[in-house]
Amino acid sequence: MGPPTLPGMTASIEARGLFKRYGRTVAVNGLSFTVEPGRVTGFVGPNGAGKSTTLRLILGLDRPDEGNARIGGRSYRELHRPLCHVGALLDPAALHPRRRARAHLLWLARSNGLPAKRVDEILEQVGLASAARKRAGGYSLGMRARLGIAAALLGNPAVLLLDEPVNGLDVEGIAWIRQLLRSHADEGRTVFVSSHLMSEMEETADHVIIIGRGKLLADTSVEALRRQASTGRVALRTERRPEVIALLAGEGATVTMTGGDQLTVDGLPAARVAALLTGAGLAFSEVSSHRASLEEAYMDLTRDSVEFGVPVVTMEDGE
Amino acid sequence: MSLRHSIFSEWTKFWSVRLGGGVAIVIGALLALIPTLAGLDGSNPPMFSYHMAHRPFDGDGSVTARVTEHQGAGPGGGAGVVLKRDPERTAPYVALLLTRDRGVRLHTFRTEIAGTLTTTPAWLRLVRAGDTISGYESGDGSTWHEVGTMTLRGLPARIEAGLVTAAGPIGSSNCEANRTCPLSTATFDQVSLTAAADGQPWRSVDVGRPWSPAGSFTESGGVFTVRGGGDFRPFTNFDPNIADGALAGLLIGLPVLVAVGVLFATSEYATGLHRATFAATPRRWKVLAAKAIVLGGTVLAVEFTIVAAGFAWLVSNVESTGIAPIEYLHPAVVKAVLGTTAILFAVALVSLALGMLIRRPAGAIALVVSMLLVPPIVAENLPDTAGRWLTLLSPVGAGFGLLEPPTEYVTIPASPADPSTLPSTAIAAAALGGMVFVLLGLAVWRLRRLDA
Repeated sequence: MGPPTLPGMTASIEARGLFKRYGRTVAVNGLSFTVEPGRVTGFVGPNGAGKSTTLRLILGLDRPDEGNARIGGRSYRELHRPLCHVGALLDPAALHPRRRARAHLLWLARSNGLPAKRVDEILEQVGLASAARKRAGGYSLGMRARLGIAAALLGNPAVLLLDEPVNGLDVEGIAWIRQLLRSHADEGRTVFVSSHLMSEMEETADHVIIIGRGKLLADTSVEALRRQASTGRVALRTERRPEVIALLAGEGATVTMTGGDQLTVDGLPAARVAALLTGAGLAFSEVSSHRASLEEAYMDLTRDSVEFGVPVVTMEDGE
Repeated sequence: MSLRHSIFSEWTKFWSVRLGGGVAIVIGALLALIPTLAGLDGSNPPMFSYHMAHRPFDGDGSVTARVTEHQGAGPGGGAGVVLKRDPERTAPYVALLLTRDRGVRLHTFRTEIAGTLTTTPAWLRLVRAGDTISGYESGDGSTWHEVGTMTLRGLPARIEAGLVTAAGPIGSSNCEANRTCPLSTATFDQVSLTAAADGQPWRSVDVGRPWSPAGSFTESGGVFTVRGGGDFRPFTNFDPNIADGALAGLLIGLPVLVAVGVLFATSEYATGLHRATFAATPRRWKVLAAKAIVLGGTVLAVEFTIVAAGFAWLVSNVESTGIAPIEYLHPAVVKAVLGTTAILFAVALVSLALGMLIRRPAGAIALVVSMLLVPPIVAENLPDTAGRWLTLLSPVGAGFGLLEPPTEYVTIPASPADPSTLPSTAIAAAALGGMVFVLLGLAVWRLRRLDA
């Protein structure tokens, strides 16, 4: 599959004021963002943040209560032969267990008027040619993911939209997907990949859109997020936490209790913290200047928006 | 994206699942044939057999006789006047009979219209006008009551007119070998044939499967004595109303179709495939239309082929065992084949629509099955009119109307006060079509509005 040659094949995804409520639960709350072509954009948020809902809204599967989502300026439902514009992987397990892999791709291809030859091409490309005649029920998690990707690539689309594509994949599979996303972005396509793990995006994405409880928390390049995460933060241990908090807060710092006798101080350099505490005669130990990882920056961003109060990171996206 | 692409897509889905929809429909159709085929029994007694005294009869006119006595007849026995194309067993005929168990009947192979008289003496008259034959009865020979009219298509100008007698119960199956088949003796007088061909004498013949001893005929001073075996009753072992046989099979084949129709919709929801489907085809009505076309088309093609083949086999077998003559393209057969296919088609589409609406197989199957069964059961306990309308809510109940043989072949029930509870063909077709149309429309409406 070569790079897109038609000028119309680059298309950004635009979400404008998306709002979606299921019963009394607000799943997506006024979400606006743009996914640009030519780079890999991560779509990150804790479980239940509204990622899958947003993707369904973009794909016209669910109707937003307010706002709209457009792909290349058009709503998904208006697309003629949508598989040739947008390739989506929502759930690799969504397969009929008694249907052969090739037939699964064939019905998709036929629905958009694509030739059967294209199915064989794509099976070859994702490394499933030898398993094409196996029933999908006998596929491993990794094979299902490859089949799901194959379905997304079937129409050679300018926009790829993948929901948690690396779930359940082995190391080799993850590397394969990263390489695939990268090459598609380099060809000028729009690549939008969701994940609940920031660490996963660290090496894959150029740009991240972070949401929590259906709201936009950050729309930033990975580079900028990393810089932001690295700015001053001091961790220290003390048995006199109330006094320390009062003192440092009075100096303009934000102090967070992080468990036991530990405190995290934002807004003051380590040396200044040490000087202040020494001057006040407050005993402390282990002052360290903390260089946050991308994952921690993300956890900070989403701490308030995690559904159950604790940033639980599990393997499954429960949306 | 055209509807054509959606149809190809759904066709691929339908046939690519191992032991999926396509295979199940073929199995279901074969199952549906079992009762029809099992209803056949080569040892069926020779029904529609009788002894006939006859003379050639030219053009329009009437045959009249008074039945004065009928000795030795059992249930199914009868004596009366007849107009028949020729003495061949399979040749069309209309007889006006005084039967032993059912009173006066205007009778042809498997169709009867009830008269009012029940005892001898009875004056019986058949009047031919072209293809139309009317029967009249009289208890005194002067006031006549019209029993009814039947049409025999394509009668030649010259036919046979005469007198018939059958004894009724055929006796043990080996009565022929033992020469112990029962015979009865009917006596007629005041016999008149207004259009009897000149110079042609009376003859007599055993019609139908031969029995033993043979029947006989004598005439002496205007008194005609016709002695015959055989039986005028409709079948008992094999029901001649082929529609009934077809329906018995339907009830076995239907659950398979219901399951296929429902699962063709719900299995996508069960696996989550529906999202891939609607992402590939955002105009969801096309998905449902394509599913309906693929499922409906398969049902029509497969069921029609198998049902038609089954009936053809049935007809040829009925023919060869000498039970009764049915032509392959007899209107009753054609109607039964088309009606059966139409019911199966409607049930499959109703199942698909309800599967789409409910999205869960158990609930959808339960609803379709109760749709099939509940209205007819409740209707039985309702007054006639209410019951008839309620029955139309069930695809099978409505379908009864499609299977009903064309009017001129209908067996009129014993008492005129017991009108047929079946809907007419047109109403039945409208009810079936309306049901499919409304439910599919409802499914489209909901599909467009709901989140996937």
